[in-house]
Amino acid sequence: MSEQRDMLRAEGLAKTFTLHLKDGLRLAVLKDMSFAVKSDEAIALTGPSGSGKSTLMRMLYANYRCSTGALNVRHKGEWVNIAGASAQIVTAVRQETIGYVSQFLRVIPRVSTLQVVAEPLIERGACEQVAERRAGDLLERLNIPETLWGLSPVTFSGGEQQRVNIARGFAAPYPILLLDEPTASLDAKNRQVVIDMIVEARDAGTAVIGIFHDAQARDAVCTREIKLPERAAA
Amino acid sequence: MSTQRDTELPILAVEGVSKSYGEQIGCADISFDLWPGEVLAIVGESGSGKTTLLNCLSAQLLPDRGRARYSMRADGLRDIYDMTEAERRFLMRTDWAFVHQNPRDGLRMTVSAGANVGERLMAIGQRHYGNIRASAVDWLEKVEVDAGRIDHSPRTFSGGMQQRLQIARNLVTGPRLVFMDEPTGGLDVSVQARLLDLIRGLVTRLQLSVIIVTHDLAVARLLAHRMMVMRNGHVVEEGLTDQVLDDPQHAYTQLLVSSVLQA
Ligand SMILES: Nc1ncnc2c1ncn2[C@@H]1O[C@H](COP(=O)(O)OP(=O)(O)OP(=O)(O)O)[C@@H](O)[C@H]1O
Ligand SMILES: Nc1ncnc2c1ncn2[C@@H]1O[C@H](COP(=O)(O)OP(=O)(O)OP(=O)(O)O)[C@@H](O)[C@H]1O
Ligand SMILES: [Mg+2]
Ligand SMILES: [Mg+2]
Repeated sequence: MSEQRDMLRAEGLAKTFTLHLKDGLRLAVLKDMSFAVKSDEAIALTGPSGSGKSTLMRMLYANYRCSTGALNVRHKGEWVNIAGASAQIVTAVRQETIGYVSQFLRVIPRVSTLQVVAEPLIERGACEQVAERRAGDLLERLNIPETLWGLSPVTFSGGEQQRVNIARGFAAPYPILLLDEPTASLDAKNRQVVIDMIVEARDAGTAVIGIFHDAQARDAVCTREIKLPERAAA
Repeated sequence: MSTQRDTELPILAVEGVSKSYGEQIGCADISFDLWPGEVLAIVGESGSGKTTLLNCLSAQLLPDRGRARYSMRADGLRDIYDMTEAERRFLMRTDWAFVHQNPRDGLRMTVSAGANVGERLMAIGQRHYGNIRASAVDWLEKVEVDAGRIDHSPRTFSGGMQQRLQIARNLVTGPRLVFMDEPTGGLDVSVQARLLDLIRGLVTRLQLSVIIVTHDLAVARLLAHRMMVMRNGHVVEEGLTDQVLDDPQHAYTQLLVSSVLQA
C-alpha cells in the first residue's frame, strides 16, 4: 500500500490573516488544501505571486498557525498533528523530522558559519566534533572557502548566505525537507550542487516540498506539483 | 539551543498565579510549564505585570492565588508557596539565580568583585579559600571580566562589567533555574550585544532553564525558545518565539511586532 510511505498529510488546511491594525481586515490566503506527500517524492508548490506558497510552507513548519485543518506528520513512526500542537511537540518535530530552508538566512551576530551549520545536529544530541565535521563537509561541497568558516555570515554575500542556509538545512537527515527558493541567488555551478543535493536526499527517501521559481531546478528535482490558485481580489 | 523534554517533568509548573496591589492588578491567572533547558521570554509594555510575575515565580513576592511547583533535585514537584521561608532561601542560594536589571540590586557594592562571586559559594558551605578564589577567577574569565580586577570594588566597574559580574555571582553555584529582569536594560547598544552573546553562550552550554523579562523583541528572538506576551496583567498570547513574532494573532501582539523595525 502506497499510503504506508506517506510522510505528511494535510487535510482541509486554511489560512486567513486577521489584520487587527487594519480594522480587522481578513485576508483569506489558503482554503481547503488537502494533499499527502510520500517518502522519496519531491513536490513543487507553484502558483502566482501572492497565492500563498510561502505561507503554506511556513504552516508546514508550524511557523504560521493553521486557521483550520489538520497537518499530520509521521514523527518517529507515529502520526502527530502539528496544527495547533504545543510548543513542546513542535520543537521535537522540528528537531527530528522536519527541516526547513527559509528563503533568507537569519544570522545571529558573532556566531560562526561552522556553528550555524552544525547547530541542528548538536541540538539533536550529536557531539560537537561530529557535527562540525559534517558541517565542514557540507560547506566544502557548497564551495564556501574554509577561510570563511570561522566568521559570522553577517557580512557574506547573498549567494554565500544562501549556501550557508542550505548547508544548515541539510546538516541533519530530516525525513521531511521544506525548501523556499533554495537556488534563487546562486550561480550556475552552485545551483547544480544544490540540485544534486536535493535529488540525493529525495532518492534516499526524504519527502521534499519546495518552491522553485527557477524552472530548470524545478524540472530537475520535482516529481509532482501542487498548484495554488490565484487568490480572488479582496 | 537544545531542549530535552520528551519524558521529563517540567522544571516549573505554574497554575493560576495572581497578584494584585489593592485595586491595581499586578498579574492575573498566569499558567504555564517551563521545561528543562528551555528559555521563556516574558514581553509586554511598561506596567503590564512582567516584574510582578517574575517576582512571584521566584517567591520574592507571594501571590494572592495560584501555585508554582518546582521540580526539586530530590523529591519531585513542590509548591514553592508551601515551603518554609528557610527552604525558599536555600533554593535561592543554590538551585535558583536572579539577575536584576540594575546590577546594584544584585551585587554587594561594598566588597570586591572576587568576594561578590565567592560569597555565593561560601553561602552553600564552601570554606577552602584557595578553591573559592580559583572559582572566582574562573568565573570572571567566563564573563570576560579581567581577572586582574578581582580585588577591585564593583563601584569602579562600567555598567556592562557590573552586569557581567552579577551574572558570574549568580551562576557560580551551578543553578538550574535563572530569572532575569531586563538584564540588558540600561546598557548601551554595543555593550548589550556583547552581554547577550555571553548569556546565549552560557545558557546553551550549561543547559539552564531561564525566565527572562524583556521589552525588547530582538532579545526574545535571540535568546528565547518560547514567549508570553502580557498586557494589563494578563497573558494575551504565547507560543514558540518564531510563531508569535512571525504570525502574531492578538491585536496587541501585532501592534508590538509592527512597532519594531525587524525582530
Ligand atoms: N505574517 C503575515 N501577516 C499578514 N499577511 C501575510 C503574512 N504572511 C503572508 N501574508 C500575505 O499572504 C499572501 C500570500 O503571501 P505569500 O508570501 O505566501 O505568497 P507567495 O505565493 O509565496 O508569493 P511569492 O511568489 O511572491 O513569494 C500575501 O498577500 C501576503 O501579504
Ligand atoms: N509595590 C507595588 N504597589 C502598588 N502597585 C504596584 C507595585 N508594584 C507594581 N505595581 C503596579 O502593578 C502593575 C504591574 O507592574 P510591574 O512592575 O509588574 O510591570 P512591568 O511589566 O514590570 O513594567 P516595566 O516594564 O515598566 O518594568 C503596574 O501598574 C504597577 O504600577
Ligand atoms: Mg514566497
Ligand atoms: Mg518591570
